[in-house]
Amino acid sequence: MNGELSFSARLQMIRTMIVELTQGDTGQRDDLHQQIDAKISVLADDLAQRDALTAEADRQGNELIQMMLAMAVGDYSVRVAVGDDDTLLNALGTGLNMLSEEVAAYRDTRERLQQEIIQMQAATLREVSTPIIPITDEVLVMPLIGTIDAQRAQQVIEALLEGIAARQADVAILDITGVAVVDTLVANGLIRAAKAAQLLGARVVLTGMRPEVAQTLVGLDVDLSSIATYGSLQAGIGAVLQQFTNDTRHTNGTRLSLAHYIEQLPRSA
Amino acid sequence: MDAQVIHTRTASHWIDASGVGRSVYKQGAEESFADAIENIDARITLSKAFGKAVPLLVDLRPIKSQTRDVRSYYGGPEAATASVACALLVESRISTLIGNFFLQVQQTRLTTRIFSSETEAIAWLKGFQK
Repeated sequence: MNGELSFSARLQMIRTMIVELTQGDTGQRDDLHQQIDAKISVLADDLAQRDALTAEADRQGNELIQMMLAMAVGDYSVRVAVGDDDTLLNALGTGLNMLSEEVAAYRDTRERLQQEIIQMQAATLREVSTPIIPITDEVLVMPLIGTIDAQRAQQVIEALLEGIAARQADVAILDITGVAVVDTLVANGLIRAAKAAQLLGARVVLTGMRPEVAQTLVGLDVDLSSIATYGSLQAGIGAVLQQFTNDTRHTNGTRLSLAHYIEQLPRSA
Repeated sequence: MDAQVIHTRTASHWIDASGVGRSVYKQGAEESFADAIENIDARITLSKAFGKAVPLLVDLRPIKSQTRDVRSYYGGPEAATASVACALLVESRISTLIGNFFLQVQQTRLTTRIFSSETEAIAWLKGFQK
C-alpha cells in the first residue's frame, strides 16, 4: 500500500488531473490520461488490499469474540488462530490463548483441591461420627451422636467390625444416648451390626435406650431380643465389667471370652 | 576457539566470548513442551561444558507462541540449573506479551527481567557473573 499519501489526498490529485484534462491541449491530454490510469490502478490495488485486510481483521475479530463467549460459559478449549505478523489482533489472539490456558489450569487446580478437601472432610467426619473407644482389652465403646441415615448406619457397621477385628474385642457397646431419632432404619442397622459382630465372635450391647426410644422401637415392632440393652452407658459398662470380674474370679483368674459372659447378661436392664 | 552452538527445533543456543549464555528463538517459533525440554537440555549441556552456570540472554523477539506447560517448565528447577539469571529480550507486541505473561503469571525460581534493549540486558546480566 502507498504509505506516502492518504486515499483522500490521492483522490484529490486525480481530480486535479481530470480538471487539467478538460482544460489542457491535446498533447497534455494523452499524458494526463496515462497518469490518471496509473494512479487509479494503484488506488484500486490499495483498496483491494485494504478490503482483504479488513476481511481478515473481521475474521480474527469474530474468532476472538467466539473465544470470549466460550470462555464466558466456562469452555476454555477454544483457541484463536494467530498469524505471523505482529499486528494488534495477533497479539490479542496470543494473549487470549495464553489467558485461557491459565484460567483453565487455575480452574482445574481449584477443582482438584476442592475434591481433596471434600474427601478429607468426609474422612474426618467418618472418624468423628463413628468413634471407637477401647475401655479394656476386651471391651469397645462406640458412642453415636446425631442423626443416622442409611449411609451412616453402614459406616457404623464397618467401623464397628474394623474395631472388633483390630483389637480382637469380645464386646462392643453401642451407645445411642445421643442419637436424635431411632427409627426402623436405625434399629435395623443396630441389629445388622450385632449379627455381623457375632460372626467375628463378639457381642453387641446397646446402651442409652431412652424411654421414648424404647416406645418407638416397640411401636415399630423391631426384634432386639438378640442384643443386651441398658438404659445408660454407665449401666451397660458396669454390667459388662461386673460380669467379667465375677466370672474371672470364679475361674481363678483364667481369662475367658467375655462374649461367653455376655450371653449370661439379662437382655434388658 | 569457536563457541559451541546447539540448534534445536525452535532456537539456537551458545555461550558467547564474554561468558553470557545466548538462546535465540527462530522466526515464528511455536514452542511446545517437548521443545522446552530440548532447549533446557541444550542450555545444561553448554553450561556443563563451560564449567559453571552462566547468566542467560533469551531473545524472545522472533517467537510466535508458547504453551502454558512450557512457561511452567521454564519456571521450574530444571531451568534454574543451567543459569544464574535470565534476561528476556522482547520487541514485538507478541514477544512482549509472552515475556510479561511468563514473568507475571509464572512463579520462576530464576531471577528474571524483561528488556527491550540488548545492551541494557547484557549490562544487567554481567552483574551475575562470578
